Amino acid sequence: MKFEDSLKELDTIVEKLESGKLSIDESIDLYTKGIKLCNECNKKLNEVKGKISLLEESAEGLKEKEVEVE
Amino acid sequence: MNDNIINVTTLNTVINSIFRAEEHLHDIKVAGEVSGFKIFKGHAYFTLKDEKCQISCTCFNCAKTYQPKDGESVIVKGSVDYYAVGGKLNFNVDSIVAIGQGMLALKLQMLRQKLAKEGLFAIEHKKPIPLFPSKVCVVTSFNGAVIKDIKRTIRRKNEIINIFIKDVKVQGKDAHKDIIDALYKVDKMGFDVIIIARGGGSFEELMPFNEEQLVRAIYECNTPIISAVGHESDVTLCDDVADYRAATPTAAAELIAYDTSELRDRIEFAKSRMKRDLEKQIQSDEKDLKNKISVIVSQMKLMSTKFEHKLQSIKTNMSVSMQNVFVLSQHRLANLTTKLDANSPLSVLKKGYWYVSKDNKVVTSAKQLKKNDELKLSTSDGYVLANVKEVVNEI
Repeated sequence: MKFEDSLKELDTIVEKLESGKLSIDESIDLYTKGIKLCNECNKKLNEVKGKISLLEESAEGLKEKEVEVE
Repeated sequence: MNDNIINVTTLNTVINSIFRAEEHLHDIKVAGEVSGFKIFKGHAYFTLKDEKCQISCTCFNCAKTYQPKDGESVIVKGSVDYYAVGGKLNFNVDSIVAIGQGMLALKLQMLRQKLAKEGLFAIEHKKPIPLFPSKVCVVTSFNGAVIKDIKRTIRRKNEIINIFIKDVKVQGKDAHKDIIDALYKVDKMGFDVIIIARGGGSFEELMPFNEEQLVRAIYECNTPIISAVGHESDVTLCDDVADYRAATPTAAAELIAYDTSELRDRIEFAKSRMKRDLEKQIQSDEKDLKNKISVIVSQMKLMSTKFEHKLQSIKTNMSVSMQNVFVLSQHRLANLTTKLDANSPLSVLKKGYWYVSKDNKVVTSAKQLKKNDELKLSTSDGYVLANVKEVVNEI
């Protein structure tokens, strides 16, 4: 799932939970789903470190080469 | 030499008449570069110059004609005028036409109108810029300051976006072809967004970003494109056709770089809100349950008290009934005893009667006896044994 979609779904879950119109079973299900989404998002935020690459011309098309930019 | 002495007014009037009479100085077109252009009370004042000379120009009611910028080459149409009162020569301008950059600007304006008419800048065609891009391609010069600014701005807020750089020429005759070629290739690589970036430059330097071919190439791209060319005041056709126009490269970086620490906070906040809401619900459900239980308990207590009362009353009733039965029975027993006493054989014996038995059998007739039979004579307080002396069968 895309980050944007995960966050949207998380917002919906929080709103639903806040409405207080759910049964306790539904609430627990939603809560579990929400926490799972939070963990997934955190994983994406914390595990990946962005790279900077230069796209270089080659016979097979553009090739990535990691570079340093000040 | 003329010995006549004239005053200044006469001199200036003569000069004025000479200028007025000279046809070559009226309704002529003069080319030159504008400098010191300013407008005061609706009239424009500037100097027109070339490499060697200059002339003051005035354009009355300048709103009716093109208003050049300083340094711009123009052709002015008008007449030379000598202002007798001030003794100054001036060129009275009727109209101004741009050449050089002015012409370029005109051509650009026409191209802009043509492309707009075709719908290339239509809002309906613009793709949304993703809020959380993970792969960003920057089409720019790798050696310029622009890529450093972009990297710095992104990394200040976001350490996870992958930045891909496609090095291109950003000025010069064929720069637009280089950019078109780059766009064609990177558009197929699945980037979340492409930034076309270039730092500030002169009007001419930014011209590659006004090339029709480039504008059409951007229009055809499937990836969302941000145009970040020049400074805020420079609006190129590339800016018009792009899905989003950033005033500067830094502004483009600012736009796509979502703040990761803010996002972490947002997620934590969502977590705590969900927890709080769930706990609140559990507590409220628990309270509900407790209320229900206490209602049930109090009802049961009430029932139990009622039951106890009933049981007590039954007990009391039963005990009363039992007592009655007992008293009645006592009475009855007493009666019966009295009656029994009255009919008791002992009471007959007390009156002087004796009970006669022989061999433990009652003797009710004299005929049962014979002389010398042994008899047992019982009375109320004892018995005697006796022998029959004589049997008499009649009284």
